[in-house]
Amino acid sequence: MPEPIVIDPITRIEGHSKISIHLDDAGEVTEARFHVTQFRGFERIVQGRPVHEMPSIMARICGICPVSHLVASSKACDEILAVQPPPTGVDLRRVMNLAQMVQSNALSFFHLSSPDLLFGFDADPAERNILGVARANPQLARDGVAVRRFGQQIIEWLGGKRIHPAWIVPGGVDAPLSADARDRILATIPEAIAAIERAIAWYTASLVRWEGEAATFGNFRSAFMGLVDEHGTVDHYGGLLRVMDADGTWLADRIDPRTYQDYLGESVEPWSYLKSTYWKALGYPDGVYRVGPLARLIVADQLGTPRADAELGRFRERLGRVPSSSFHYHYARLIDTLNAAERIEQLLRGPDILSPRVRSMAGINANEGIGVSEAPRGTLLHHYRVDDDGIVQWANLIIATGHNNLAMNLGVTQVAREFVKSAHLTEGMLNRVEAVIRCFDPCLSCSTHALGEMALHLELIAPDGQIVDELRR
Amino acid sequence: MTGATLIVGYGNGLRRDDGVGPHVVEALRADPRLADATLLARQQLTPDLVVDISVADFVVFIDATVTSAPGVVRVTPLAPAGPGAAAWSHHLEPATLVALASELYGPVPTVVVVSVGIADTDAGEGLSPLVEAAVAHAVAVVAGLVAARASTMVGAHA
Repeated sequence: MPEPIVIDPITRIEGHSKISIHLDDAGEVTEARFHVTQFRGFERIVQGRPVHEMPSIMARICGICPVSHLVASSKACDEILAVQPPPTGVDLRRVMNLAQMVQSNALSFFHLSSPDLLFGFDADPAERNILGVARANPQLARDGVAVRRFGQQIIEWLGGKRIHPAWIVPGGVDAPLSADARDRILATIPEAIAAIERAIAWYTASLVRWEGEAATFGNFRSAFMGLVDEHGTVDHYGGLLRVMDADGTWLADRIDPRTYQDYLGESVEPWSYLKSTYWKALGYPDGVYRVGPLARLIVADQLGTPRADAELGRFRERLGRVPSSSFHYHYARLIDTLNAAERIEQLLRGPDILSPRVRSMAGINANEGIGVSEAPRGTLLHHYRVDDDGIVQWANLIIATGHNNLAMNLGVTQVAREFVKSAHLTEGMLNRVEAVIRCFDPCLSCSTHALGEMALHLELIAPDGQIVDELRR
Repeated sequence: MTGATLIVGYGNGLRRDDGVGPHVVEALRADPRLADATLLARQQLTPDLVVDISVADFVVFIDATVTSAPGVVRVTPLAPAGPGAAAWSHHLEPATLVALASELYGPVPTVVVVSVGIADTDAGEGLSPLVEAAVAHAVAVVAGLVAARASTMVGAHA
């Protein structure tokens, strides 16, 4: 009698989870589920807190992308204060958010995924890690260190520290940019761009090796969602929501993201703390859409920087406008990183970037605020309601990994059907099932607002519910 | 080698004693004996630190430990991790970090770990009394290590 497979814990992603793979009587995979097994409950914790505390509290959700939570939270607070941050304040928020895109994307690609891409998914785990990458391709490893360091240094130079800076505040930013800091950042940009472009060249040259994985790693029809400006250029800070379906048709084009509840439903399952969002018009669970670097590239008409737009052209020439495989998150993530580095330079060369007017001050002027931005893993929504004294009464967060939850489950099921061929698990099976999750670069601490590192538990489950085999990391 | 000293205190300052490493680093900032050292306080060790290690001649990691009695300060020499020791997600152990620096940038500097025994890792800021009292001792230990290293280098170059 076949029994279920469990992968527990999943490695090289952020947070705790397990995957269960359900078999039929013939031993074939019927379904796989990605269970997120951690919980923190920030939406409840913040009830009763003064709204001006929200950015700093919410940033503590995550140590990898705290800046994204600072941005979305501060934007929600801007609405409650009914303030417009000064233009320089907005540009500086953009710079820090883009720096975080760079460092988080670099972590995902160079440190978490490149071992698979360099050595293969069946390689010995003792070799398939960052030290192995350093030995086999030191330039790739050095570039990974350099690109992540570039993003982290910008965050530190702007906000005083690399993790949990409190520099982005309601109304703008806490302090203007010094000429010295601007010049230091500008001086590091050419090297960072060169490193990113070397990685793109290496990745695109090796992509042909992974055609089999690309065909099965979350390769399904779905919609894609991301933020663009009024001209259709990708906008990591704000702008308007766009949703494109698998055929390239707009489900929504440049809608106000503050109306998200008209379009996005939220659902929970008893086997995971990670809620799933879905496109309401398509219903649950059919309303699958994906967010993140791949979605940003798909919904944008252009990226707005020369090198990234040239690479976007090559991306589309090779993969089309709406590539369906989640494997291509890797390529998209590198282009997204290049775009962020170029955009940082554009912003820092702006004539008013050193302006001392970076923050608008106000009291409580509204009882509700919604802040939306792009985080490294996709569109991030913070929605708060406060009383007349600015005390938080209710909060709702929709995090990129929640947007992607339905898609991740589809991806895991597809990979399990392709690669799990017996009631006994092998390292290659385990790693491929993990790797499809890593394509999405999920942050479970964010998406469940929960603490911890990703560790995987894989269970192989029979029709009668018994566990046939399991692997843990 | 430049003769530079790198001191990295790491730990989570919101888990009380786990943050003793950064506490020691902050105390060292006011110590004139460490005026020429690079002092870094980190929540965890991340791969980008290999660049700082690669330009240092002497590296001191300051960490919390539950294997020593609260307040006890120990000094342990550190060797780079061997092959296969790099299973990780977002942060590294000191030995793996040093091994990575060696692979990417060549010979590694002398590295020691100064560990401080801790008592309380509950959520919250601030150190428990025994660990708070040990900060000054840890500062003296680190300063002593740096001074001894400096005198060795003077001798070596004489």
